[in-house]
Formats: sequence, C-alpha cells, structure tokens
Amino acid sequence: MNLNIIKALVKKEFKQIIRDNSSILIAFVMPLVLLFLFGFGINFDTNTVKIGIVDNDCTTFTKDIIQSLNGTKYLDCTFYKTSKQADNALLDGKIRAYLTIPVNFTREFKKKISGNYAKPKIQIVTDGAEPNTAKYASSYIQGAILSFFEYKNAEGSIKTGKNGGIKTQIRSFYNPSLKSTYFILPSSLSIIITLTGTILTALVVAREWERGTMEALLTTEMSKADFVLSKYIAYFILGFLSVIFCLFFIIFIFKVPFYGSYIALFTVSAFFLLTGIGAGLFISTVLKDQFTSSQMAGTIGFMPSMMLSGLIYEIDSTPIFIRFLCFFIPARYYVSAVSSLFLSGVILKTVISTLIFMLIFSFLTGFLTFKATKERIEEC
Amino acid sequence: MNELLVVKNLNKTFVGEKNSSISNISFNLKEGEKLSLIGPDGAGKTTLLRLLSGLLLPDGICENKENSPVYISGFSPYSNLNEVKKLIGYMPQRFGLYEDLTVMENLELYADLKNIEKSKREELFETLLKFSGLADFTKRTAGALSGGMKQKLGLSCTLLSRPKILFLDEPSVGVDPVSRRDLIEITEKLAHENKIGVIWATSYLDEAKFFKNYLLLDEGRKISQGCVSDTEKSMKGLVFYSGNKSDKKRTFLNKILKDEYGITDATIEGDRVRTVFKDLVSAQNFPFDKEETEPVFEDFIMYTFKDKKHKIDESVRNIEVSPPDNIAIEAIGLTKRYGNFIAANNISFKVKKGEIFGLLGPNGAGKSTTFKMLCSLIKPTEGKSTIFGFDIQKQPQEAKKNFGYMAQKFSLFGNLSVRQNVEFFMGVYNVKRSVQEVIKGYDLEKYINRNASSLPLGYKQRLALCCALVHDPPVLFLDEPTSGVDPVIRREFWMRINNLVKHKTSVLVTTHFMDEAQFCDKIALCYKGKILVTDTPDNLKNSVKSEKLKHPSMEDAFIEIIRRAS
Repeated sequence: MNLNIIKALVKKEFKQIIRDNSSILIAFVMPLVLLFLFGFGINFDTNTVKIGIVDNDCTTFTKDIIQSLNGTKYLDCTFYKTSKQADNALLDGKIRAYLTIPVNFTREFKKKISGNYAKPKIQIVTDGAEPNTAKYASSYIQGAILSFFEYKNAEGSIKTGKNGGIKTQIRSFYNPSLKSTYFILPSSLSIIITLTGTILTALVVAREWERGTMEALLTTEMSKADFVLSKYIAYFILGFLSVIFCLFFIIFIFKVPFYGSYIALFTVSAFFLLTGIGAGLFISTVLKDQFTSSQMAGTIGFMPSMMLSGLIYEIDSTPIFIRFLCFFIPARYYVSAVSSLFLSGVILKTVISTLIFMLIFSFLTGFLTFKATKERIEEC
Repeated sequence: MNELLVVKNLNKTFVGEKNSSISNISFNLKEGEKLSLIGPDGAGKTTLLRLLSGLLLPDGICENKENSPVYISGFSPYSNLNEVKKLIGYMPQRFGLYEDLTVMENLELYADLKNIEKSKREELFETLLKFSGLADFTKRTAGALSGGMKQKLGLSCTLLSRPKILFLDEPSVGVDPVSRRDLIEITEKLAHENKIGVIWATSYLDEAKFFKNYLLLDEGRKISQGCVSDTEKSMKGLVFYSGNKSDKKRTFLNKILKDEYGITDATIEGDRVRTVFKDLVSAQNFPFDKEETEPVFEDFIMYTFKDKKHKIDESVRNIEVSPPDNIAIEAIGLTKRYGNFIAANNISFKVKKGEIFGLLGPNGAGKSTTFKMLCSLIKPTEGKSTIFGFDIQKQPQEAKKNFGYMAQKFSLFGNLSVRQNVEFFMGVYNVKRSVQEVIKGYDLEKYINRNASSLPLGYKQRLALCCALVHDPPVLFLDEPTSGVDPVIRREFWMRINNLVKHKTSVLVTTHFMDEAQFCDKIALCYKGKILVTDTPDNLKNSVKSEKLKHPSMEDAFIEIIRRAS
C-alpha cells in the first residue's frame, strides 16, 4: 500500500467524475428525480372511495347507519335498488365497493341486543382488481359502521350490554397522519445509495479495462490494494455527498419529520453505501465490460433494493421463498432502520442489528472485490 | 554489451483454446537494441508483449515458478514482478491515457503511480514535453489530441520511470505518416542515447525497415528473425522491374504469373511490375524485359510466405457498357461541413472507365467523408457527383445499380452463413443466378455453410468482395479494403481487383497504406479535408526526387508533398 499512489488515483477519479457528466447525473440528478417521483408521483393513500349501498331492509335503523356512512369524508355513497345494479356499477368501475344490508337485518340486530342468539350481517363486496383501494374501502366501511355503534352506545339509544358492547378505537402509531410519503421518502434512500454505490461503481473498473488504461496501470508500481482502496474512497465520498444532498431535500423540502439521531442515520447509511460499492466494484472487476456490468448491477443491485427491501411490498406478506431471499438483501435492513429512525426515533436494537448485517455484507463484498482484482491480466 | 532481455522457449495457450497463441519463441535483446515485432493481425504480437511484461503468464509457470522462460536484466516477470515493473515501460494499444484528463494531469498521475520524486519532476516533465512537442498543449485533455499527439503523450508517460526496456504495442495505428516518422526518430534517439532496448510491435511491414532487427511472427510462431539489411541483401538478384512501358501492365502481370516463370511475387508499382523470382535460375531464364532493382523488406516477406498464396480464377465478366465521355465516376466540388468544421473541402476528380483511382491519406484526411458522399451515404453540403452519368442525388436508384460497395471491416452478417450472406445480397440487387455461380472463383465452396464471423480473415474479405459484386456493377467502391489483413492476403486481393480492372471495371479505393497506392492508376492525396494533388504514382514520386532522395518511396513523396503544402 502506498498513500501517494492512492491519493493520486483518488484525485484522478474525482477529475473523471467532474468531467464526465454521466457520473454527476447518476449521483445527484437521478436521486433528485427519484425523490420527486416518490414525493409527489407515488401515493399509497386513498382519500375518497366511491362505494355503493343496497339497502334491502329499509328501516329507520338502517337509514341511520347509512346516514353515518354518508357522513364520513372518506366515503362517497351511491344508492342502488338491487345487488345486481351495484354489481354492474362495480364492473364498470363507477364504485370500488358496495355494501348490502339484508332483509331482516334490523330484526336480527334487535334480537341480539335483547340478549337472544342472532347474527346480524352486512355484506361488503370490494373490487379485488385493485387490492390497495379494496383494502382501504373495506376498512373505511368497517370503521364507519363501528364508530356508528360506538356513538349510539355512548348516546345510550342502544344498550348493547356489558359484554356484547362494541368498542373500538383506531389509531395509527408512528405515522399519525398516515401519509405514505413519510415512509417512502426516507426508505427511497436505499435506492439512491444503490444508484451511486452499485450502478456507478459497476462501470468504473470495466471502464479501465475497456479503455485500455488498466493494462497501463498494471505495469506501474500500483498494488491491487491501492487500486481497490482508491475506488472505494472516491465513490464513498461521492455517495456520501449524494446521501447528504438527498437528506436535505427529504427533511427540509419535503418536510418529513425526523425523530431519530443523525449520527445513527449517517452511520447506517455509510455502511450500506460500503456494501453497495463493494457489490458494484465486484461486478465490474469480474465482468470487465461496462454494458454487462450495468445490466448485472441493475438486476442484482437496483431491483432488489426496490422490490425486496420492503419499500414497495411488505416483506411479511410475500411468499416464504421470497422472504428467505430477502434475508440476504442488505437494502431490507437498511429500509427498516431508516424508516424507524425517521418515524419513531432511535431503536437501538434495530440500529445495532442493521449495523451488524451491514458490516458482514460490506466486509464480504470488499473481500470478494479484493480477491477478484488481479495484479496481472491473469493469475495462477 | 549485456543481454537485457532473454526469452527462451516461451509458450502460451489460453484456457479453453486448442491452438497455442504463442509457441516456442526464443530471442534476446541487448541494451540499446531496437527490434520490430512484425506480423499480421492475430499473429500474437500483443500476447507476446503482455507475456514479456508479466501481464500474462506463460504455460507451466504456475507449476514451476523457477523455470521462467523470460528474464529481464536477470529478473523474471512472473516471480519478481515488482522489480520488473521498474525496468520496463509498456505502452498498450490506445496508449493507456485517460482521455478526460489533461496532458499535464496524465503526466502527473503516471509520475505518482511510478513513484517519481517530486523534486525531479519539473525537469523531467520539461524534457519530455519538449521532445514530444506537447509543451503548448499541457492544458488540453488527452481525448482532444490528434492521434500523433496521443501517441507521443503515451510514450512520454511510459518514459517517466526511465525504463531500461520499452514495449510499444502498435504505436503507429491511427497516426498520420508524418507523426509516425517523428515518433520513430524520437524512439531511435532515445534508445541510442540512454541505451534503452525497444520492441516495437506493428502490423505495418514497411516499419520494419526503420529498425535494425526484426522478428516476424505468424500464428504465434516465429517465422524468421534477423537483421533487416542482411535480409534484404540475401534477396539480391531476385528482384526486378519487368516488362516495358508499352506493355499493358495488368495483362502483362497476369501473363507472367504462370508457374513456368518461377515467380513468387509480382505487383504493379506505378508503370512497372515489381517481380520477385524464386531462384536465380528462374530470373536468368525470364524471357521478357527486366531491370534489376534493390530488394526491400516486403519482397522478403512475400518470398517467405510464398506457399500461403491462392490461385485466382480469371473468369470475370467483361464490362460492355460505356459511360458518357468514358467517365465512370465524377466528383464536382464536393464539400461537407459539420458546423465550422470542414470534413471535405471542394473535392473534384474524374475516374475513367477501367481505371483504379485511389484516395490516399492519413486518418481524418476526409477520405471516408468523400467516399460516403459518393455512395450517397451522406448528403454533401455543396457540390455533386455522378456515377456512369447518373447524378447520385437526383437519380439515386439508377446510380446505385451501377456500383458495388465494400465497406470497411467488410460489413457482413456475422451470424449468417456464407450462402445466406450471398443470398441476401442477391435478393437486395434482384440477381437471378444460382449461389454456386456467384461464388465461383472465390474459393468459398468449402465454407459455404459456415457463419461469416468464424471465417478466416482472408475468406471474409473474399466473401465481402463477392457480395459487393453479385450484380456485376461496372463501378466498385472499396473503403479501406485491406486494413488489418496480412500482406499475402492483401496481394491476393489486389490480384482479384487487377482482374476486374482488366475487364474494364472502374474502381475507387481509399487506403492509408502508402505502398498500396502504387497499384492505382491515379492517386488523389488527401490531407485535412483537401486534395493536395492528383496524379499517377510515378509522377508523384518523381516530383519529390532530389539529391537526398534518389529513390523516393510513396511515403517519402507523401510526406514531402504535405511539407511543401504547409
């Protein structure tokens, strides 16, 4: 190892980054585009759901229930005479769900509150083609009905008795306003770090081979440790600047509340970045071809950090095999650590376990990269 | 004098390949000795240099580290790589420069990488910049330098550590002849003053004459090795100019290439035919006019490779149609501008029927631009051109029927078979003949079902020519037809063209091989977008004759004409 050589190589790398627009584009412009996309473009919240109502019972009691449904700002109700009509409306996409109140509902209900055995039922039909909205629709409706009973209970007009009383309280922890951007934006840091960490570094060693400079470097006094370290240092600095840049946007422009500790956030991000750089350099060193490397980095770096990190799909709701696969995706640990740092403050257990995983991954990729780097074009 | 480099029984077979890339090479190099490593593309030159500099490992070295086939000043590049790195300067193809960095930044980077003391740098940089003539361009990025300047910068970076031995891999590719001459002179001087050993790998045979010794490589084997001047002397009495000026040179050439005359090589050089005999007896018994001349190194190469040659079928269709005024191709004031840059400036010339017309010049001279305008691949900014009287802009369909085009690098469909390639071009030109008939005379039958990409280079070239000629065009365009092809295949190619021209095909060819230009009836010298002069090869050579240059070569003529123009 020779510090002068490393310094010269890092300097060279930065000059190349500054003069080659594509590096700046990947490190700063692309993340910004992604942030805006996630901040404004993707929204998992639903504000008003259009639903249909079919009331076959037509009593004052059911009218009351419907009244309360219509009263919430989350539901926009349309009335249908028969379930058939509501079905058609659902098919046409005019409504996302409908509820049917069967004949005898009121009678059943009264039987129940007077202590007899009875099952008053309301049917909710949702449009499964849009699972997200369907989920929202059904839970909104359920919520509205529950709060109706609660109100009646409190008012005293319906006595449900001690044990049969319906009492619910819905409250969301950590994301009180239930804004999905508060979760998505911090978690998208994993994609952004993968961009500079893996996609950009996947190009840099291959570029040296393609442009014939690697051959020239190999005949100088540079050792392979010098080479690998200089790449690590240069892209770590660049990646870290990109992280700071994006955090500024997330916290000050998008105004996502931050409850955790900056030191914890930067430490976790730094180690995740090291993991990414290691993976990118390893791909590049082995493949020696910019095109294949970038394809490979996209497939094994970028896609998992988007799909399998819990950013878009909840890991616990994926099939067993995928869940097993997620165990090896560093981004998954990072996403959970960052979102908890942002939304709920420092949870030492999460931070430490994440750090341990990151250490293992970054050591592993670094070791592989070093092993794959050769002092000659081929070795024994 | 000490042996600087000792190579003994060097072998290299790449993993997964049947044939060895380097087989059983041995040679030595002394201090200050200059050696040209010559051979066609794929001969193993780069592999050999990489082996010598320790970038690749020879066969068997992993099993037995002690038994090194290469020693540089007593160090093996396989077990003592760090010592060897201090002794060698290796300049890879494309010079190993960082194109985003400036001249000075490249120098500084390599100085850091080679651990040059800071105090010594200023003086060192100054010397190197002075010798390379780059002192005024230190702030320019390497990517913006011309080929010749890049080459000098690459060499400067290599020289920073004051190596004892220089390995230069194809330093002259993409460099104009003037810069090439410069670089060779610089290298000679350096080697002489500092006793540096030099190995200069090149596929341009004519470069061998600039160095004292040569090593000729083909298919990984050493074909011959020795001193260039001795080798030339050994050919004495075998090389003649034959035929007299009244003979039709192309017919005469075909006539003498029969076995009974014992000729190993014959080629048109201006007005005469250069003839190499296989022995003195054949030379004596030759029944036509002849005049002895000084042998050159290429004669020797052709003599060495005499068994590699192919017989050429002479059955070529006569071109019966005649263009108006007998002018097959005409360019009138062709100009192409890209913004402020003029790629081709007011190019005008005429090519008669049955003539070979050459556009000669270094890379970037505007040959290809002119060429592409003539074939209507790009639109001229000004001017017009005609083929057989048809304006290529106004009547492109008629004009295109009249020419065949063979592009640089052959542009064949690599994953189609020979038959499919031919069938495709027949379809494009609506030719109603059998494939067998079309490929007759090209000796392609045995490869008919093989993919074009896997053909040997010579066959690829033949197939490309065959495809360009499926529709029997009276005009043939050849764009750098012989780059990267070995001299024997080149000769064979020109024999085919000779046949076509004898039967009145008109040919327009671009080339940067100076010696190849001899084959043309007329040459236009292109330089920086302009035609400097248009004349016959002999007239061009004679125009630069002087006391100093009694027998100027085509390259001498070219360099002299450019010097006078600027």
